[in-house]
Amino acid sequence: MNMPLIIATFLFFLGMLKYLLYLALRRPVLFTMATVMIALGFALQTIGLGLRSMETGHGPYGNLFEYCLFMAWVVFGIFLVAEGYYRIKPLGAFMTPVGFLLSLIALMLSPEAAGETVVKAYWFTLHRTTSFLAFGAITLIFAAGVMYLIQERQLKTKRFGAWYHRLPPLDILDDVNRKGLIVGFPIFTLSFMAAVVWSFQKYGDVHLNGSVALMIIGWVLYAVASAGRALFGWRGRRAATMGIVTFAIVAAAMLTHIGHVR
Amino acid sequence: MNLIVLGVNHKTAPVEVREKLAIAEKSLGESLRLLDERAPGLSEKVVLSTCNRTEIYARVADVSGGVDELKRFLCGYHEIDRSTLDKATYVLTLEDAVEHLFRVASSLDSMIVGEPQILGQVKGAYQAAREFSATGTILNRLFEQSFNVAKRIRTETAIAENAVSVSYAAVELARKIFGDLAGKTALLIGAGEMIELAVKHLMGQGVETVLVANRTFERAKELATRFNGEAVNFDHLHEELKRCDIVISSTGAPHFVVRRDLAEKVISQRKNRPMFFIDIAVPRDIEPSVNEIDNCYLYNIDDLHSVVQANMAERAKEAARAEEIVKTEVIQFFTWLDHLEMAPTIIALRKSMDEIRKKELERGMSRLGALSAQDKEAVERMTESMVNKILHSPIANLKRKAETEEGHAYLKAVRYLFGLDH
Repeated sequence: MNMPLIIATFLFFLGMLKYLLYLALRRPVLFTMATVMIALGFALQTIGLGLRSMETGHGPYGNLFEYCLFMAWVVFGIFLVAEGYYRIKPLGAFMTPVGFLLSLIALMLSPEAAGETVVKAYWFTLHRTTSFLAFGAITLIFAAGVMYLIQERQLKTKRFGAWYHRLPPLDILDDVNRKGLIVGFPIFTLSFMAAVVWSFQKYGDVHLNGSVALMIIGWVLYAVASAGRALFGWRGRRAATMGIVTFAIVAAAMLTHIGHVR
Repeated sequence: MNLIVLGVNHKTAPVEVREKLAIAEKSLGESLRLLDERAPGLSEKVVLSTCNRTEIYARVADVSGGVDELKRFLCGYHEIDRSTLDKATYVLTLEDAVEHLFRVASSLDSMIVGEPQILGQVKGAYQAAREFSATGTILNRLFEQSFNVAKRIRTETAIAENAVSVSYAAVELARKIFGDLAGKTALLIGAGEMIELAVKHLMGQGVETVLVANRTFERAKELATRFNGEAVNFDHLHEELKRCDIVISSTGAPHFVVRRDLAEKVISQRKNRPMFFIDIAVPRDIEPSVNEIDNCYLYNIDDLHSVVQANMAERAKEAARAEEIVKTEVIQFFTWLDHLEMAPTIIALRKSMDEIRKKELERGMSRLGALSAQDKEAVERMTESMVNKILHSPIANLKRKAETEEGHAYLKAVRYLFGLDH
């Protein structure tokens, strides 16, 4: 196993812990430490993934071990960008656990486990890369959605607990949802089309199984959410709930997708 | 060296006493000059006077003498009798005085914990004292540090983050819903003092357009000009509502002015862009079930009060953390003070020992009679080395203790035991 990946996971754990503590205690120093740790972990994971790819001769999507790592890497990458852009301080507490869990799952899996035969084809590589990016975007939408639902509850029920003081304004969270859809949906669609093109090139048809079906449901939900938002002004609670459901479905689809190439 | 603070505040004295002891800003210079004259024991001083407190911070050589001079000054200056003054005032020294100033500057001692004005008032008092050259090394450092403490507490705790008045609570809620209020539109229905206060705060936060509706159009126009807004026809409210993000209502109407079905229609016209209704009328103007509509938030006067209460509780929690910061800063101040006093104390100690040595040597020499120059020098050297050896470990230990919290107590003890202050 490669050392940078283990240290990165440990740093992710510490960073996540600091974000959770920051949410509880609101000491600025915790927030700074958390961001530094996640950024360091991300850098180390980048190195780890690079080393791994040099070793195997292909991108990090050969087996479930690499799969989880790559998903975690994208989640942290998008998280760091979103945190810098929106400055939503509690975001880390909601997004880093997803990335950390994925890294942890990876560490518990065997790096040598059999995966799929690695296909080096233009459309297939495009499919893989974009689907990971889309997953990162949907994770961001998920984190914002959870925060939105909590904060909206506080404002509606007028019970002002600790959350009320800690979470950002609804409008900002809704804006994350909007931008997440604008950026994520085209990427997801591209990934989808790339898979279809590749499948037709190679086999002449599209092979449907449980995981692919889940992914299609996820994509349809993504599409409905985007269209509803653009055309009918679906926003707020409805958009947040859809984001959370879509995330659950896409995450399940991603984790069962490996090895489904014929 | 000692530090004292003598004062009255809202906790120790009612306003009848506080107003008697207040020192107006314009007579600060005069009072400092009089203090110089009548209380010479105060080598440095700062006079802080606000509507909730009058306090004099001073550096004195002797505490009880300094306090007495100060009290006599205040009795004379304000023409009140000593017993009234004694009852109303508190005197704090050293650590307690330093802690007190830090708490005052960071608004932990204020009537409304976390209110921002007091820091400016402390700064003003210090500035006035500086201009009058009434401060020196110690008070300069003390006050400069108190500003840093206040700043630190403001950034490291959420003590001043949340609204503690009803009209600010409305603004805070609007910000929790809309984030940035720039470019938003507010509609006022009716009139009243609270409504105007809330609008002022909202405009201060960037609300751009203010619409005013009133049963009498004239009154609406009048209010609208005051807020640089736009009067709208009361009967066409349902048409105006769709461009409003924030609606504040306070009419004397006996029935609902905004009903649920109207709000539902408006929200769908707005494509679900959120609306914030604030109903401060009794009987209420807006149907309560409007709050159940998605993206509509309705708050009545009781709800606003409960926000204030929650915020107060939050402030109290943050205040506990701020107190911790104050404690560490007090220690820091005394560490600095010890370093400052260390060198003069050691020099004074050596000097006093050397004086004793020289005096005793002189007396001894005359009793010993004629000694050769060589013997004289030998005796001289011996006494010198005795003094050095005796002082060696006390000085070394004192230096070591200066780095700790007890440093100040040791310094004081040394000065006292060896009579260095007289």
